[in-house]
Amino acid sequence: MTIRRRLILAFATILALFAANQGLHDWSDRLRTQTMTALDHALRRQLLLASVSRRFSDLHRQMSLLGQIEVEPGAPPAEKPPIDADIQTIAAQLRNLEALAEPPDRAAVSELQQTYLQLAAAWRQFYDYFGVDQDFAVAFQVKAEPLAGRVIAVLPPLQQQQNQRVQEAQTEFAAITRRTESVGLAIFSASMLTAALVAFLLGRHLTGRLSELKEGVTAIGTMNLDHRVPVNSKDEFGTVAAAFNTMAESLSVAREGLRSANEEMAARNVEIERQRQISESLLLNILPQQVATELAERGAFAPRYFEDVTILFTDFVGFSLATEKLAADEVVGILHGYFSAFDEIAMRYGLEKMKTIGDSYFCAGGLPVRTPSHPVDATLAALEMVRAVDQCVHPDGTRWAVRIGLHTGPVVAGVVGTKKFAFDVWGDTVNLASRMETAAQPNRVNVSFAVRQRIKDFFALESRGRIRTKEQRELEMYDVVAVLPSLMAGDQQPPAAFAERYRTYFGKELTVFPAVGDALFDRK
Amino acid sequence: MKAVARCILLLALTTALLFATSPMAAQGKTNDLAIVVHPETPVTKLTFSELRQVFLGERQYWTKDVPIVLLVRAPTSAERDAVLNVIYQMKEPQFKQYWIAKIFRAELSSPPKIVYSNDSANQLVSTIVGSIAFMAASDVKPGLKVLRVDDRLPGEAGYRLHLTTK
Repeated sequence: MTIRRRLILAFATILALFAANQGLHDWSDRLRTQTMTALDHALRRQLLLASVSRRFSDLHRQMSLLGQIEVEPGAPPAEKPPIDADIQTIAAQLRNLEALAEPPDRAAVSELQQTYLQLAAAWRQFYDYFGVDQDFAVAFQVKAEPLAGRVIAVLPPLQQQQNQRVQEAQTEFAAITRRTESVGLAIFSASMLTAALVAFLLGRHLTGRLSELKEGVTAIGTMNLDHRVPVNSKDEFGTVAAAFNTMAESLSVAREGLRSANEEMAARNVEIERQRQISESLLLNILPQQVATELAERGAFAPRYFEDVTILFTDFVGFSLATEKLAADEVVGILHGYFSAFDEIAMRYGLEKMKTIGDSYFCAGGLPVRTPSHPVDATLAALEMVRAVDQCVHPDGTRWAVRIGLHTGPVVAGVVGTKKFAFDVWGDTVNLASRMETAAQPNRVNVSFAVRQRIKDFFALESRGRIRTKEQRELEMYDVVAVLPSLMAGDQQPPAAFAERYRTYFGKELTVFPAVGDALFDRK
Repeated sequence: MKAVARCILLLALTTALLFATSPMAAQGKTNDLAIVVHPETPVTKLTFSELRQVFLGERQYWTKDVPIVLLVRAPTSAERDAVLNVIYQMKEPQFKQYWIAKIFRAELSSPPKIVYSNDSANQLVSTIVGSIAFMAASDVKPGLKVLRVDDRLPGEAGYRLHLTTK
């Protein structure tokens, strides 16, 4: 049954209950009116009879007393009390009484009325003859007496009967009132119960279906697309529930499709990420991370000026001679070994590898991330590179030596080219660093005056005097002898004094330090 | 109508004179007070006490269906004086008050009727069944029934009601 029909049925039920109550009200009103009319008639009869009885008694007494008046025969009293009005009033009241009488009482009332009329006639004749002809008056008086006696005999039982009628009418009225009230209360209670039942059933149906739909919506909201609303009725709720289930089915299918697409996309993303990581790895091999990031984000890396960087150059001593003795692949293998070690050392000390040029290794400290400790870091890295080369013995028992040069100064950094682009630095600083390397002694670190000024509080340096470069420039050069002995006290790694000074000068912790005790650090 | 009634009364009186046998007539006229009733009244004698009950209205029916209709002479008659004196044993005001009180108390179905002559009394007694009246025995017309009082008729020795008792 549809909700519309349910509502119409509920409304019709309420209307029927209303009609039943209205009908009951009309029925009760009619019954009460009937009994009230009966009671009213009974009371009026009672009052009429009481009035008749009182008037009759007075009139009877009056006639009796009149008979006791002594008059002169043939000389009527000057004034006789009037009786016509009372006689007529009583007659009229008896007529009314007969009209109001109940059918069972009507015969008695009628007989009373007839008797009274005879009596009234006798009384009138007595009245008329009184004082005129006393014999006739007495005769009619005597004639009236039995009639009066009959009236007197009839009136009390008739009054009692009417009292009984009044009592019966009152009892009937009370009974009808109680009955109508009881029936009314019963009908009203039944109406209330029925209305409450209708409201309860209708409400339960509506709230039940709505609750199921709400549960369904909540389940769908929590992505439980397998939830289905039971289709228990053929009403609008059933239609909505069916539509809801269809929607849930469609959503479920769509979710499955979306899940498959997501899985496929995830797989693609994994592959893309893998490819991206490969690309990024490759890119990071040739570019600093920051440069690579900016290049990836903006498609270009704008040249920028670094006012303070340390450039490190290495070069193997006697490389040309060695290449003549070794096969090309062996030379490349040896270089690969050295440069791999240099890469690892440069990375640990925060230096940025720029490139290799033949047997030359070129890296820089202080870019692209600016750091104040780059001269010290580059010096430590250079010392560790010297040690790495010095400790490496070739299969043929020979050892290579390396020259390392450092210079600190400003450079311009940038990425050039569109294919096989590379991060590079330019400036006189780079040339001077190269000159420092060229002028360096085997397995020694040769630094410029600028570097010396920055590292002299950490390392012991030995001045080499002013050395002329191929550009005919004379430059102050210094050999890095070792770490200052005062900073190497103790057996801590790194040395506590060195680390403390490093922290004091640069505001950061020293994280990397070459192995203590190495000859390179104390070759004096 | 009144003329017809009078003719009927005269006819009845004449008939009574012709056919009735009156004890007093047989016994001769005396100054005794006779108690007379309608001939059909179912009574022939009364004790003085019963007579007094009747005259006082304490007894109102001869039988169940025959009420007693008491006829009393108007004042200033020897008969009334004798009855008040002997039977009622009351003075005139007491007598009137007695009956008025009875009427007001509704103790009477038939109050006493006043007659103004023995003729009227004769006439009424002869026509009204159950009526009882008193009159000089000499005035009793034939046809009426004279009651024995204490088993005595007027004129007999020991009869208690006399006009001269006044």
